[in-house]
Amino acid sequence: MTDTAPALRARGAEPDEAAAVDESAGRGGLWVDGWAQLRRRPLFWIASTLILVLLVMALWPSLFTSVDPRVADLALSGADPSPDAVLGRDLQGRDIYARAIHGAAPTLTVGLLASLGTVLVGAMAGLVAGYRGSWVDGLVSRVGEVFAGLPFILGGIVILTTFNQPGRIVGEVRIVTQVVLTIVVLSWPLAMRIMRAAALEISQQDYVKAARALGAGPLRIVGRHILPNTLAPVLVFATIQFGVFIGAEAALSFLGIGLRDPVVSWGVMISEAQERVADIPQALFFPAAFLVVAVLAFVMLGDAVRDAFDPRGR
Amino acid sequence: MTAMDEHLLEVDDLRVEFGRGRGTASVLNGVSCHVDEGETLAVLGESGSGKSVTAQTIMGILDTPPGRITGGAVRFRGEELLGADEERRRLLRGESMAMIFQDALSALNPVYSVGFQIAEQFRFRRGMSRRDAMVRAAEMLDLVRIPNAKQRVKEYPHQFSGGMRQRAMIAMALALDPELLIADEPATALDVTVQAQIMELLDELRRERGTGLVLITHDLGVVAEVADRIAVMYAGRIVEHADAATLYARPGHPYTRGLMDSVPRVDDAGVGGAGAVLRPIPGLPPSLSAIPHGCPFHPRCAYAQDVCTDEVPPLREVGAPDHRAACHFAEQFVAEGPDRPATQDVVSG
Repeated sequence: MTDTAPALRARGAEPDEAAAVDESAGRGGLWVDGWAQLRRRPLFWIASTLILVLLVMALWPSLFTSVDPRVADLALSGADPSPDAVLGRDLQGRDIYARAIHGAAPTLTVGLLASLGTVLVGAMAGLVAGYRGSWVDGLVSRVGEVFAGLPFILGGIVILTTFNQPGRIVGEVRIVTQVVLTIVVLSWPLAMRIMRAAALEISQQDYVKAARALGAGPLRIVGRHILPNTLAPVLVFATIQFGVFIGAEAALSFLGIGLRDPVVSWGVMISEAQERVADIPQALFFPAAFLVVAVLAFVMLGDAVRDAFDPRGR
Repeated sequence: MTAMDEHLLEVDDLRVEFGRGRGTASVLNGVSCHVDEGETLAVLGESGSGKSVTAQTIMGILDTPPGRITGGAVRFRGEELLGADEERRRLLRGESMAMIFQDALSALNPVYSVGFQIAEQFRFRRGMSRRDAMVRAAEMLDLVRIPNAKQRVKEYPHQFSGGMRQRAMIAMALALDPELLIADEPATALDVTVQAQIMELLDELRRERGTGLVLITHDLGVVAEVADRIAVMYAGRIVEHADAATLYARPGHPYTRGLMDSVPRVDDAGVGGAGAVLRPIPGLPPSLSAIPHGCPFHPRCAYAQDVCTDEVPPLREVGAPDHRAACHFAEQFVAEGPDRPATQDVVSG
């Protein structure tokens, strides 16, 4: 993919090829059309290249570093960048570069699971609410409002400290699950609202009525007509939220209630670095830079996808 | 009910309301009509007269709420539909009765190819494979005279022209060979030459397949050419019903006459000169949440008498068999013929 990306971009820039793309934009529905739009955007290629690198980093950290991120040498505490440790060492004398590389996996896992969960729960609820209407809609919307009304940080503190006493050591899987569930519980109403609005709009369309007039049952109407036409805004939302949730994970870790040692994540690193930021600035700076780039990449991708799939924006 | 006097579709005293409480709009106030196999019934009326609600109620796709069926019956081959369970009605839709919508672009799903949408019915209702269903879909497109059907079957609705989209709609509705086809203003959104082609096509398919056709329109010109019988609707009621020839020769309701007078006619120009004056019906259709007492048309009627404000005129036989009109003075109008202006008070010139 990293190799084909610039190649595609270069081909798209040729006048003949661009004309061919224009023509194909008319042929073949929303998805083909959207893809044709998407592949002409530099923003999309930049964002997806960054995300690809992050993904490789998360899946195969050994490609980038052979140093164990948990090996601490107190003698080297706060060492400056050197050939031995390119980004320097933190308070515990651990290699910041190795930790930042290994921090990608937990961070992206939380982001991915949280946006998947949010979209699954939220979109499902929104679809049912928007299509069924009447009291079901009322109930789902009110419940959603209750959850949306909770401030994120406050809700996060309440939920996570209820399950874990501060300072207690918890297993990796357990804390990741808890953080993901916390984010999902506090964020699903956003996805629900988007899906509900889209489903409401689509179920008023003539083609839904026409499908009913031809004897389509409710399952087929939802599956064939409403879902495909509402998917685009929800996917865009999910992509942008991916970035936002990575930030949320870091915020919870920073407060000491989210991921924590022995898990290595960028949020954990930032949290640990805050006390000695004047002495060891690199321990704060580098994980923060990784975090900013990752959040930016997903938000940019979401923007590009939205522009491509929303014809009103063109 | 015996098999002999069983109609394909029979609507009996159908009543539909929208909303509740003080704002309740009585959209249908006792609509009765019937259609037989191979016959075209035209339902004529202004916007808001209840034509489309009638169609949707018959099909069982009226949104409830806000709509509410408060009375009456819809019988398909003698089978009562309003009380039937949803599953039974769903099976009838598409298979036995189908509907064509006014705006084919919005009635076709933009994310699927036209062929796919037609083929779906063969796949789900006939259990055909994806490939066989696509072949059948191409045949249907061919039937509605779409050129190059084999290629076009893979194209999307936005790649079709307006007339072709409407043809595709018709193909979709006729896919399972329904006995009853309801066309809700099938040609209104199209330009005049294409309108004529679509009406011709519908008429031809009806004749070939013996389909009962309910044609909903506000276009008198369209009606004159294809309808066997015409029902004129006003404020949720059928105010006049007759076969096409009778209705045009001897309209029995001032509203019907008003409709005819408000259409420009080519021969008018010959008689009255190029600037022949159209005679519109004065006023607006009544608000359905405040239908006037007595005859709902009386505030706009040039011939209104005291009795018109007091008594609702029943729909009754006037003269010719099967010619019914809901006007206290229908016999007079029928006797006079269509030439006397319906709206005598309009200042001429």
